[in-house]
Amino acid sequence: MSVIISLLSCKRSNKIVPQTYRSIIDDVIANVKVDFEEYGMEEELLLNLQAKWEARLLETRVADFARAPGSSSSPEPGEGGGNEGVSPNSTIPTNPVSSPPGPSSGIFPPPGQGLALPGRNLNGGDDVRVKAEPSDDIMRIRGGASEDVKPVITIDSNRPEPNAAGLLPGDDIIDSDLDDSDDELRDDAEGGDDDGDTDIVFCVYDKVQRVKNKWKTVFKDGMIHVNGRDYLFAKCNGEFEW
Amino acid sequence: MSGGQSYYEFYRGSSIGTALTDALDELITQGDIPPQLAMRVLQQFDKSLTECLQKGVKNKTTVKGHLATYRLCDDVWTFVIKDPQFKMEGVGAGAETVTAPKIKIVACKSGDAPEGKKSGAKSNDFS
Repeated sequence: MSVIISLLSCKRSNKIVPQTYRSIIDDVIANVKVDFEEYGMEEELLLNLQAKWEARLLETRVADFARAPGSSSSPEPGEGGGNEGVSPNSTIPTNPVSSPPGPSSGIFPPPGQGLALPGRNLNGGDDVRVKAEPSDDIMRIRGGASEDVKPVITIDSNRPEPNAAGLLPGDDIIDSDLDDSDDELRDDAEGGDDDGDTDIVFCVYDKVQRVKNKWKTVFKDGMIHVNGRDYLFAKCNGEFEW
Repeated sequence: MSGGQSYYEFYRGSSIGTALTDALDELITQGDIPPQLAMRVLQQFDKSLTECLQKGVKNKTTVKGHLATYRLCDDVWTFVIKDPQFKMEGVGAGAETVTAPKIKIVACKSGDAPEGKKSGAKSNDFS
């Protein structure tokens, strides 16, 4: 029942989302223009970035993104960059449902080879994000000349490893509670999402109070992603029972 | 430009942040822009997003539910709420209730992001 209600009215209360996202994009693009110039980038690249960003955001369908009046700033810069090996604009809008832009757990690969996500556009979708390998490489590279990492690693892995009991040698029971919740969080983060779409809120907190099992929180400046939609709030009071 | 006040990076995990990082990934992979420039764009994103949220968003919300797990680590609270019920106060349009089986809340301490530990729970960066 409440689902129906929310479906009916959700256009209303997240109406602010498109305009806020619009202003974020415009502000970012306007402010990095000088940086693109400093790096000797052509302006078309900046427009290209904006177009890709907007296209991916549209894909998410987290809000009703009508073409806002202010968005006339060349949503399709015609791929004039010249060095576009892949032309993603041709594939992205055609199948907006089949390839959601990946989990909301923004994964930022390291520079260099870590950024290679080659198959994504060519193979038409499935985000195959193999991150572990590249970051290993980076670690090795960062290690520099002295490659004597091995003894350090063994020491390291010996110390925090005793997770078998969930306890570190010096830990008391409070810490084991934390470990448990950590595990649960991990379950929540990984097992809980069907299509890589986790319901999550990003915000800052003013207050977090607990009396017995009652928690009261004051959150601010939040972005809610729930049921595939985005909502924003300036302030959010939370009341939870543990 | 990049100096001065620091801003949280963890909003990069949001829909609009993910869209941006994916777009940047693509441009870097194609060799169109250097990673350092992408970093600069993301820093600007942190700033723009924070300011736009603070200035442009006025509406209030409440959330109730069963607190399944909680954690405080490095000034970042993480809550997992079972059966959360959000009441979004529409602007003059009446309230809207949104429910879900479960939601995770990642909350950094309000105020300026402390330099050096401004990442938040889910943040990653190019370094």
